Amino acid sequence: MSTVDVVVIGAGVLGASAAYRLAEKGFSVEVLERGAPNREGSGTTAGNLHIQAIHTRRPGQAVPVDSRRFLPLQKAASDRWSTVEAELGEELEVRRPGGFMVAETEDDLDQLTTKAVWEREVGIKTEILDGDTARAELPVLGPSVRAATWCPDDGYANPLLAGPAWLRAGMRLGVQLSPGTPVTGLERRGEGWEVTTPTGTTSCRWVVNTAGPWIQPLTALAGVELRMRPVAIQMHVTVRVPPLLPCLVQHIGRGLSVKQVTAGNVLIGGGWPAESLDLDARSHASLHSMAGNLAEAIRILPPLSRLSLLRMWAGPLAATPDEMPVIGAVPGADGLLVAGGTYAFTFAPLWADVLAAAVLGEPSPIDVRDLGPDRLIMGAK
Amino acid sequence: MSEKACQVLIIGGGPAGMSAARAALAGGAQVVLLEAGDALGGQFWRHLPESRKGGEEQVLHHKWRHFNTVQRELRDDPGCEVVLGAHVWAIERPDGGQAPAVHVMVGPPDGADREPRTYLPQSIIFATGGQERTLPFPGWDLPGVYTAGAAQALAKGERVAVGQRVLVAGAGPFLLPVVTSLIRTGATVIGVAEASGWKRLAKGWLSRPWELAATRSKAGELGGYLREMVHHRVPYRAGTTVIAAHGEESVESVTLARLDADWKPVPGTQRRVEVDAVCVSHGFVPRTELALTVGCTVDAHGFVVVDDQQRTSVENVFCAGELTGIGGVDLALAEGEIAGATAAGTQPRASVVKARNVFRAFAERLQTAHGIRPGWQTWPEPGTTLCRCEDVTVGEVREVAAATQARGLRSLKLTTRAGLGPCQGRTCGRNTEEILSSCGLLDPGRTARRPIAIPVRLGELAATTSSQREETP
Ligand SMILES: Cc1cc2nc3c(=O)[nH]c(=O)nc-3n(C[C@H](O)[C@H](O)[C@H](O)COP(=O)(O)OP(=O)(O)OC[C@H]3O[C@@H](n4cnc5c(N)ncnc54)[C@H](O)[C@@H]3O)c2cc1C
Repeated sequence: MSTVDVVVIGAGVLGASAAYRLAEKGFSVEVLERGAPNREGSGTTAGNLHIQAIHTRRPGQAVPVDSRRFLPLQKAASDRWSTVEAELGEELEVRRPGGFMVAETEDDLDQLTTKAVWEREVGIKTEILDGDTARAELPVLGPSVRAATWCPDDGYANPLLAGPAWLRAGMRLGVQLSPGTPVTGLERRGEGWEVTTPTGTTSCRWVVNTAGPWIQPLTALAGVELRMRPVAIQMHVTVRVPPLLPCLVQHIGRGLSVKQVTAGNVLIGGGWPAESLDLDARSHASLHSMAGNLAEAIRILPPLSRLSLLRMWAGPLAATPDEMPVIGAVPGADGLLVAGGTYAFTFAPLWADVLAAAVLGEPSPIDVRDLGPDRLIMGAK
Repeated sequence: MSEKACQVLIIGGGPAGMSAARAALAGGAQVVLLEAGDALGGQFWRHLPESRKGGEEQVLHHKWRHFNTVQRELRDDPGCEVVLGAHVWAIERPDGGQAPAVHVMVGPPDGADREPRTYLPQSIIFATGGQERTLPFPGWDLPGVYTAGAAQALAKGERVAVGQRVLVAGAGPFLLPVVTSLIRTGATVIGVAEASGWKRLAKGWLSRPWELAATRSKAGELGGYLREMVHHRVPYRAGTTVIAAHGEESVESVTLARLDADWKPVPGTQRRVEVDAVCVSHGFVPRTELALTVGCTVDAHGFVVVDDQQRTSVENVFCAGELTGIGGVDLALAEGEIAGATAAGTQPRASVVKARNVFRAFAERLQTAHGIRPGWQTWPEPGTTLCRCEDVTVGEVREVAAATQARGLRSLKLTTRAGLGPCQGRTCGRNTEEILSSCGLLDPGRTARRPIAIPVRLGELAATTSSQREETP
């Protein structure tokens, strides 16, 4: 049996960034990963850094996101991302070309103006443009766009580089990574925890559960049932084409986010549901969602219509019933922390700081008391 | 978009698919035969022009007549719908015993108005064939280095010689007809380099010789090619291959080396030979992307596993031809007939089952004698191109595999971009997989697994839904 200060469960982008931050604070850390690192949500994500308010519903999403609550978190994440590459000493292809959020209907316009006020309140710079002004700025926008907000801080990073870079940086500071090692037991022992895997047991003071869509079964190993609502959503990518789209384009009322990556491929997503969520294997993308997502894309950006689709894929997402992130200590399980939820790519460096502060017993860099797992415990409201 | 129910849907109009269609019709089934090209016949029959001059082998004429007969039968049978220019881009998996939905774009690939269609078949027969596999070596991407198939198509179709001093290298009997075609365009073939050594060739071809008697037509065909080679004094070297091609603008010379049993070059055996063209072909890979999409089990070599009736691991899904193993046109014809008959709910003829078994044994000999050996991985240098579409080198892929924790095929592909170009790994997929699996991947996977089988324009895809706007705000 080995002993460390902290066991991190899951080597997605959250586990990787948390392990790095904890090691940097002087803790000994082991990351236990069921399969290969960075392969689930964090390896299938669009990798957008969503700074202006997001569209509030994925297609089919029952409860809307509370955008007003999200925005201060997005602002903090935006600030955090500006130093990540320097901190890790690695190029993660962080790009901040800015982004348009477009509106088509009356209702979209209402949402756009409301969220712009909230953005101003938290210090996120956005500008409202009418349709023609937006088209003058970005001529590929289609005629149905009636208005748009422009946020210069929107951007993206390469998700295939980010998680692995955090892991590497952590390993330089002594983090042990065990891929192919699923956690099968979480047992309270004295002051701390005994974490069981098929290859052995690790004892530790703290457990950080960043198992993404598997947060619920892992917390259940410690006897706490959280209500999570994992889903799988999908992405679409075109062949490489000459520069066509210099920035992000999203839709305030519909599932659409589009960007062209450095290599020239256009990436199209927007949270459309995959055929089903398969937590034991890879989820399959749905043709119905594909057609729906692409139809939105070519209505907003008509020149995309003649590009060819090269691939599509689905990835799992740890959503909660109230669609807000979950981060904090699990009540009744001293030393067990969880972090997860949607947009965890954008929040990764911020959540790492929050988790490290919680382990250190220091004040949180941002108020997340209302986002703790207590609200998701079965039987709780 | 039109949806059509049908009994037996056959994908691929080469020998296997045509033979399957004919047998399914004979069994009373109503059949739809989809072919992406603008004519039936597939790779084999496409390469047989209608009137060929000079002493062609009787056996080829015989096959051409057979092709014409089958083509006419299929065209005239009211129970058979042949759809040319039919590009299958996705298949939705059968669930709960429902018929799978096969999505097709009909029309020329870059044409403006392709017609989207969906077939809901009771049974599917995949007869999507295989394609040449070329192993990478330094200089393999120089102009003047051709795949054997491309050289043959030029020679036969355009009657163009790829060069004056041509070397043919690789593995397998398919090198022989290439030599014949080259000679007929007036090229001088300075030699054939077969990677497998005499020992392996003997093990594959000379063991149990009485079995070969049953494959007379095949043996006769190969014999014809051999006679022509001997007649033109083309030297045939076993256990030798091209491990590098050199040249400024295009290939000027190659390095030949003797290979050991694993296809590793034997030190000290290298020599330079001047050429102005090289034709290489190291084997064939099956085109399994559609079969994999519906979940068919494949074996260690990537071929679809079938039972005696050509049934795959997925109910009501059959495979015939090169998808199940590379064995040539006779095997494809027999497998097609068995798949077609079974899909129609009838018993295949006993004589065809026997023929299939004989030719399958022939295919196994082919694998024993010429199958690709792992030593090829020592040929490329770090700067050798692995994926042509995205210009990724062997060294880059190995470096990323070693340096990162990206220990899955998918993330390695995405990080290096190998196999991500327009051909989606059709050309380099197997080479990439083998290089990566020798780097010790946790999750090797297969590059052919793709929900979208071929690139299709966004506009066409968007039009496949009525694009009803969902209700949420
Ligand atoms: C298609 C798609 C697009 C997205 N787009 C964006 C975007 O543009 N911007 C954004 O901010 N967010 C986006 N997201 C969301 C974001 O990517 C994810 O929220 C984030 O990557 C999740 O990271 P994670 O580390 O929490 O979880 P994951 O990356 O899912 O990692 C969880 C890990 O836990 C491991 N695990 C599970 N069970 C066990 C066990 N028993 N023992 C050990 N390990 C275990 C898993 O194998 C996995 O590696 C997107 C998500 C998807 C799927």
